[in-house]
Amino acid sequence: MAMSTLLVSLVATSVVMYFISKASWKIGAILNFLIGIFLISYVFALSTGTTSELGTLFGQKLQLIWTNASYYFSLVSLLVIVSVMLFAIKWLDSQKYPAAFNMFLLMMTAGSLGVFMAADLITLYIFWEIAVLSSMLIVPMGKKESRKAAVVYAVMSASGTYMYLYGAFLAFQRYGTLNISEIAKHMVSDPSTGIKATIFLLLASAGIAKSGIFPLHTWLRIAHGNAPDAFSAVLSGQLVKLGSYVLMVSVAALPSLKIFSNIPFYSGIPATNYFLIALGATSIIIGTLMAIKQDDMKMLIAFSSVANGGYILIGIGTMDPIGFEGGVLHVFNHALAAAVIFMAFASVVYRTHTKKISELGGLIHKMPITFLAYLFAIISLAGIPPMSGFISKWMIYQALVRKGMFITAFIAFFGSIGSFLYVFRPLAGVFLGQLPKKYKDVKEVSPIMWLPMVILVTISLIIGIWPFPILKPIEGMRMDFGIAPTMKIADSSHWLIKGFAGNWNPVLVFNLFLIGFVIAYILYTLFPRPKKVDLLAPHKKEGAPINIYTGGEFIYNPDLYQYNTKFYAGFERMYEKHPSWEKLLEMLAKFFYDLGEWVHGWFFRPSPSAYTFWVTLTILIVFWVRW
Amino acid sequence: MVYGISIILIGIGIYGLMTQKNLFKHIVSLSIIDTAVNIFIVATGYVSNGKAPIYTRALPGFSPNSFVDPLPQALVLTAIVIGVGTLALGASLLVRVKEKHSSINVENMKGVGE
Amino acid sequence: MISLLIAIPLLLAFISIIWRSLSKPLFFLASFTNIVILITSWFPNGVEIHAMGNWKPPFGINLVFDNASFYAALVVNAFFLLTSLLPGLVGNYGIPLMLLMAAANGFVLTGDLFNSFVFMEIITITAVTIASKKENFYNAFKYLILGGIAGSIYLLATIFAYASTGSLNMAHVSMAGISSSSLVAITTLYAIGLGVEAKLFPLNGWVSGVYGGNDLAPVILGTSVSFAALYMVGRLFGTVFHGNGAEVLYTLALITIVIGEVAALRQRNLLKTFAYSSVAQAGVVVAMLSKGTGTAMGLAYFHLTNDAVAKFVIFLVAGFLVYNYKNLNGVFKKHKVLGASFSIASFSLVGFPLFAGFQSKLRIIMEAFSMKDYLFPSVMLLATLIEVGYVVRWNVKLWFEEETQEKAETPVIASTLALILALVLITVFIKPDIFLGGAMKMGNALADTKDYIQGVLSVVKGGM
Repeated sequence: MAMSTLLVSLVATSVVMYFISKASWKIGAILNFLIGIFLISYVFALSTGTTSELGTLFGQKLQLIWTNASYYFSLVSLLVIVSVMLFAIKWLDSQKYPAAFNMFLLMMTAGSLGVFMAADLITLYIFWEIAVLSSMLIVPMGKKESRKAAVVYAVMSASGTYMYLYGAFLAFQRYGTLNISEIAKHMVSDPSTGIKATIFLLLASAGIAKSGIFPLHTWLRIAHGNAPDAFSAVLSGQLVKLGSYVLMVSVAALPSLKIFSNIPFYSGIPATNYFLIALGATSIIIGTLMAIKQDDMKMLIAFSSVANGGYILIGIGTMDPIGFEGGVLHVFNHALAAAVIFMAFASVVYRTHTKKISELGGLIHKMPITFLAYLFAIISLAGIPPMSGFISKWMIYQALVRKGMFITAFIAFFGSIGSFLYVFRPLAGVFLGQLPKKYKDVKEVSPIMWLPMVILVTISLIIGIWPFPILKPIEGMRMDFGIAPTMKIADSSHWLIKGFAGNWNPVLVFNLFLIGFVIAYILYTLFPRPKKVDLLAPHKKEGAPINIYTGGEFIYNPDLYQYNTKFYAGFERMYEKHPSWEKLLEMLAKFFYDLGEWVHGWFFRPSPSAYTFWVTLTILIVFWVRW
Repeated sequence: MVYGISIILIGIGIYGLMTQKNLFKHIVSLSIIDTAVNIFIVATGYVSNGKAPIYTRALPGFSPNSFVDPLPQALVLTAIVIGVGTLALGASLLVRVKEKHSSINVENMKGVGE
Repeated sequence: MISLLIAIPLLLAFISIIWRSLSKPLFFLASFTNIVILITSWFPNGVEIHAMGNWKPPFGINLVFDNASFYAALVVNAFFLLTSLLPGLVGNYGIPLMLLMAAANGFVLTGDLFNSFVFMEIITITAVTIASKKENFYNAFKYLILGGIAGSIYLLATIFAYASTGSLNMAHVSMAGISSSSLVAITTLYAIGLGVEAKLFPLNGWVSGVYGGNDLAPVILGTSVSFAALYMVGRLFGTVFHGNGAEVLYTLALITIVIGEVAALRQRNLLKTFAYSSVAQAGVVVAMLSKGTGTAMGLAYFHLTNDAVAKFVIFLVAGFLVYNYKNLNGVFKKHKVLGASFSIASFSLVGFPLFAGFQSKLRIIMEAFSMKDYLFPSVMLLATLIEVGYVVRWNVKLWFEEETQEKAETPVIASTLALILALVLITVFIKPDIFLGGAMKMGNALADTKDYIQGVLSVVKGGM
């Protein structure tokens, strides 16, 4: 099947899917999942270089092309989406709009694939909007706050998109083509740096908005935090990656090193790229610090997505061979980790109906599989070996250190340490600690829901040990974009990833970890087991042994002793009164509202007298100007 | 001179529209503007010492240049009719405004939010 | 034959004064006949004129029938036909609607400046009558005053044109050429006079009150009458005055776009929100018209057609909702078809892909860029951004908020019509030529002054 046929029929099928799902949403969800599986096989079967034409729009051909980048990004997206589709087969029974969810999820899949396949800027825009529109219609299906979230999401996303569109047309006006590779050629030979930089930044702003880079990051918290729980996995794991893709297109597919070779800023990195890197670094700081103080577990991970978007941008922005690969690999790692984390949260919410960390606790015994999936996902997210998350961060650090970008490197390290803090908060607050009484009957979710998490975590672990299958298309991408094409980083015959300051042997590291784990397990079995205590035992049965007390007092209300309220209070206090970017953007929105109020009051509401006044004034001004 | 009159009248009309609180006075002002424009139209067709535009050889010293332009007068006729229509519609609306909002004074009207 | 377009609705309007009860079927009959007449004379591809009373142009009044006026008349009458299919909406207003139809047709077809003033005044008067439905008297009155002033200014401009060229015939005025100083006065006055009907800022104060005041006014004024008024902008500034005064229109249009969107964003009333949006879209159209080239004007009318279709659906649905529910939260859960049509139409308005608005918006931006105008696209995109805000907000509110009320009876015809038009919007995305072909012909006809002058002044094809 040609790519164009695939995309068009996917969009059409999604509408049919609504009616199927209306009859039975379960069948719809299963069909969705099967379509997803088909898409994965389709992606595997497609060979790079395949082109396809979608039609013509105002004399411009809408073209699709299958590249290494399309392959890689489509695969990552589909992994996340298909897992969520599987997850949804059971999870949807807790939702109000299952039919519409199925429809828009499929439509969004079509849109995302189209973005990755697009060979020109307008095709990219069209599918981009389809993806945004359909995802935007899923967001308000959540709880009450999600309604506002949808609006914020739509507006923030649109602000980036329209800047992109402006840039695309600017490029078209100047170079007479919309094809990305053609534009790349023209831009290299274009002497005017100002226009090139404008086009570059305008195109990149769509990616900035979408992947939640400062200053357009604020929608992530509200949208990811309030969207239907399983869909947050798609939002954070997949849709945000559309933004990374556009950033990669504007930085790498349009070869920024060559285009802006006349404005080097630092260590061979052009000022434009450095600007993006600075934004990425800011995102890491903001994302990390804000994530640490969230009590809402979904919002916490939403901010972590901001930070991780920053890593990806920094990696790609360096245009250093190893940094680029690291950034692109981080797309994969974060996608999987975020998807698993959000699905784990969705499972928790599915059972407990709350997403506040302080209201939860001790679910480890009730939902062990969810806990394990979460645990492995955060290990990957925090960048600890042997999970795959480590490799990408390691590669980014390599590049930063090599380029001598010490401030950025410091921020990246800071973000990494910060990520230990924030991923630990839900771990301790939701899964460890004291189980509130009201959740004593909570059960593990059904296999349909935990299976996708387990699969994704397993993939992440396997890639952490043997990353070469995923590094292969990334190397291919690097060759396509001509970033140090002679260099080889992934050396699968020696099990090595070659860095500048040393090599990384993932298999060896894994074995070391395995040995460590075995030793730890032996020690665990040798030493005495901890004993479970029932806090309320003395009150239930006369004469029961008192097992717990504090400050010489018996504990009557153990819920209050949940240590996960104000988890990092001490640390948070350090930046309690920080300036809020979100407030600033709200003020901007309010400004437009007030302007509307003012306009309405002055021009539209008043009596005929005022109308006459305006007419007269206009005549006078126009005459005055024209004479 | 006639142009001056019509311009002054337009000014009066606009002044009335801008300052008066009574809606009926708005209609009156609008009517004044209409009239002023009509006067203006007639004035454009006027030729001093012109003759009635009747094409006849019996008239001594006949010359088409001395005719008063008849077309503006025809236009004015139409414009007057339209002005009357507007006036009538406005007045009838005001009756209903008075019924609904209990006044035709902008400041005393009830239920005119937004 | 084209004079029938004016005569039939006029005649039937008078007949229905005698037989009141017949006004609805007669209104349908009038619009249906008009559409049939138009279909039989599909795209004249030249300039045909109908000299009333067989006075040869430039004398007398003549109706001009070329690609431009054909397409405009087609759109105008099509919306009247659609409206006539909705007896609940028409109510007692069959007669004013027929008069409005006659006037709008006349306004579009006439080749005479003074005649166009007369028709414009009739449009104002009938439109005010329609605006007063549902006891919306005060807003109708405000509209009347503003319309009256606009009429006077329009008349003044016409007289100036007559004084400086000695003719009222558009083709003749266009050919005669006007001295530059009086041209400034004439075009300025025309810009202001037309600005009221074309909803240019700050002459559009009436819009929110009239469109927001009842269910019928926005449906017909926001589509047919808007189109007729904006057609005249193109005709006067494109054909007759050769683009003189375009910069006034351009400036006002850009301000209009921003003001309209900002006011729409703040609005809490569904009908008024989209009334302001229609103001903003008019700004887009006028800005494009002010460019003066055939392509630009064609795209402007393409956009206007898309907008009119979308607005028809939106106002139809919104009018139904506002007058049947106190609280609009989640009402679309009860009216899925209406809701889907509304969403499609509003997304088309924003210009999301898969819907017609995308085709016109992108083309307009592209055309503006190719003319090296970088300001207009940025204003338009900023406006679209604001539009996204309120369109999404309303859609989310109408679909997803908690519903509270009893279900009102679903209007079957309105739902069907809305759905069909929504599907048309999707079809236009796939095959833009449905609207684009005609609109481009219209734009080219408007830009081609020479053909127009020649066609009007040399060809005479009989009277009535």
